[in-house]
Amino acid sequence: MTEIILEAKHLTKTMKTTNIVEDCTISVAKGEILGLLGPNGAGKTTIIRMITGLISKSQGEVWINGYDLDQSFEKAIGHVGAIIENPEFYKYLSGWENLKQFARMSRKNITDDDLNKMVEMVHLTDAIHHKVKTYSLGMRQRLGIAQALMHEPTLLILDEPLNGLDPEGMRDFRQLMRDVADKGTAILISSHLLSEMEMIADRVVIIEKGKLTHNETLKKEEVTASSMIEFTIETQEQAALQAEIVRLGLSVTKTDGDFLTVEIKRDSIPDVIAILVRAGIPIYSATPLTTTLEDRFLSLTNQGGQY
Amino acid sequence: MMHLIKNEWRKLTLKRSFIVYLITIVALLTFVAFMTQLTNDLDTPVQNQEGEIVESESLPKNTPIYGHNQEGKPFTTVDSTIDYLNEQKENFAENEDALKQINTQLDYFEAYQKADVTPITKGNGTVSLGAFFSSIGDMSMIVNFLAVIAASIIMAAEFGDGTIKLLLTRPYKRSQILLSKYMTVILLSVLLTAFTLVATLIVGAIFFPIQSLMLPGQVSLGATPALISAFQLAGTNLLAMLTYVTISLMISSIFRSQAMAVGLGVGMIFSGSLVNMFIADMIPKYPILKWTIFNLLDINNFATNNPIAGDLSFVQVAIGLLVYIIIIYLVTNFIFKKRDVALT
Repeated sequence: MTEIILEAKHLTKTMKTTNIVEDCTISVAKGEILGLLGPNGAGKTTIIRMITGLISKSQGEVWINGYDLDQSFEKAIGHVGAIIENPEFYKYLSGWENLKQFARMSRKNITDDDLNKMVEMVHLTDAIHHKVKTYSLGMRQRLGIAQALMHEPTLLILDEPLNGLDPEGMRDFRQLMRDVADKGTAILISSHLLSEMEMIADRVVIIEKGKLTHNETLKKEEVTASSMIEFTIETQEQAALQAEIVRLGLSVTKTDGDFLTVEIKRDSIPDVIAILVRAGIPIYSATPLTTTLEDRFLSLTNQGGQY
Repeated sequence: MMHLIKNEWRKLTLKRSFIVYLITIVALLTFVAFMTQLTNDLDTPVQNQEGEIVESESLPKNTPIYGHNQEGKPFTTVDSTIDYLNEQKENFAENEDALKQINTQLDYFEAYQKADVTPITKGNGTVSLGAFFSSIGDMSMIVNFLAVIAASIIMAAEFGDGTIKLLLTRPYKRSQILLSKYMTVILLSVLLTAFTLVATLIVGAIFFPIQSLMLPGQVSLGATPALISAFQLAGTNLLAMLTYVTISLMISSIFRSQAMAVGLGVGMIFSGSLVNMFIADMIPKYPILKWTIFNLLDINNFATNNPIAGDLSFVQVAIGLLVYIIIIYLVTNFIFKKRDVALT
């Protein structure tokens, strides 16, 4: 089995009498990117702060690389690189001096050459000796990434890392995360940007009101010619269409006004359309059905709004 | 640990405010030296014991004046002053306090007599470098202020800027992070003290006539050489400063607000003398009050030859302050370790 890098068990944070986070169990395997998804105020940041030891846990335990965070904090946290909320730095110092500060605190020997490579990787070479107060938000994000990756952590924790990145920066970021994960780093990313999460994460856990409500693998299943998919056809001639479908021996999964959804083998779609056209059925649209994470997420949170 | 202290030191000194601290010290020293010279140049009329202004015989400018007798006649030589003081000793033979004071003055003048040097006093329109240096240009309170501000910022700024998250997610215990900050503040206190001593010497040498620093600096300090007096004051003040910065570090760790920490720290320095006035009155009745931190913080009195309420010895006061420092630090450490770094 793959090695588990982060194991957070039964995390609970109680403030006064209310549970901000309740019994959340999360694990991230080596090389895996786990997305922590939830609306604002759901408890994402609280979970991340418990995992990084910034706040105490009311209950539960955190294991990183086999070290208990409470028992051997230094060993556990030494394997972690993190950006928590905004990438904050010592603004009156240069980007370089900031990185040097963290390099000195890493308990590893990080040379100036190593740092230069990091700086190059996040495209900050030109600005690295300027003071951080002159940086844009995107530049600070990138400096934050350099800070989080410099000591080659086995666990990377990123809280809302995409704020302030432009589309190009986001694309670079995705690629970088993929590369880092492929080298074996486990990555935990929290975000409310669903579409981005879908593109980055291997697996997503959805958190709502402090509880984990969903745990879903996003590994896209290879769509082969013979795999069954759902397929929606739009036409006003519903009666004729349904008769034809039954004759073809396909099963109907849903009807909705002018729309009819059937289950069908992917490689038989062209034939079916040809038959329907020959049967004189006017087809306005024909779409294979894919549910996005966003659909599921929104439907979940909409339900949440009702009770 | 050395890495942590190096980091803290760089964060402190690369800030623009660090230069401002040093400039403030030099600027205020220059101001004090200038004002001292200015006010000493004014001719103050001589009064006798009944408060009537006595016409003193006109002396040539820059003649030293070491004091006046009851008739308002000034002494202008060391020898005549010593003779007069010896006379006074007999007059006040029963008054212990007065006798002590006269003896201290005698020590001062006799040291100059022995060295065959004419002391430069306020009477001839100036003071010497030694006098200025022995009181460190009255800078002790200012230096304490600056140290308190630095100690308040060193913790509160991390919370204010959110950088505390970066600091506490490194492979170091929280107590190590706190200790590195404390060490840095101690280092700063020592350096500010040393800087002030050197700056006083330079500014003093520019403004005032130079005499050997091995001669006494002030009449009230007897025969103690100016150099020794300066180091004594610097030493006692450093102990007080360390107490103040320890308290400031605690306040800034608890409240995490820079404004609050600086305000309370500076307020403490100011209110100390006020609180002490009341404490001094109450000590005869409640002797335990002599161990209050406010009374102990009068430690500079040992260097300026003033009594400290409750008749504590220097060693007692020094140990008392150290005990306070240790307790306050342990409380700070306890709070800092427990603290949730909450959502910002």
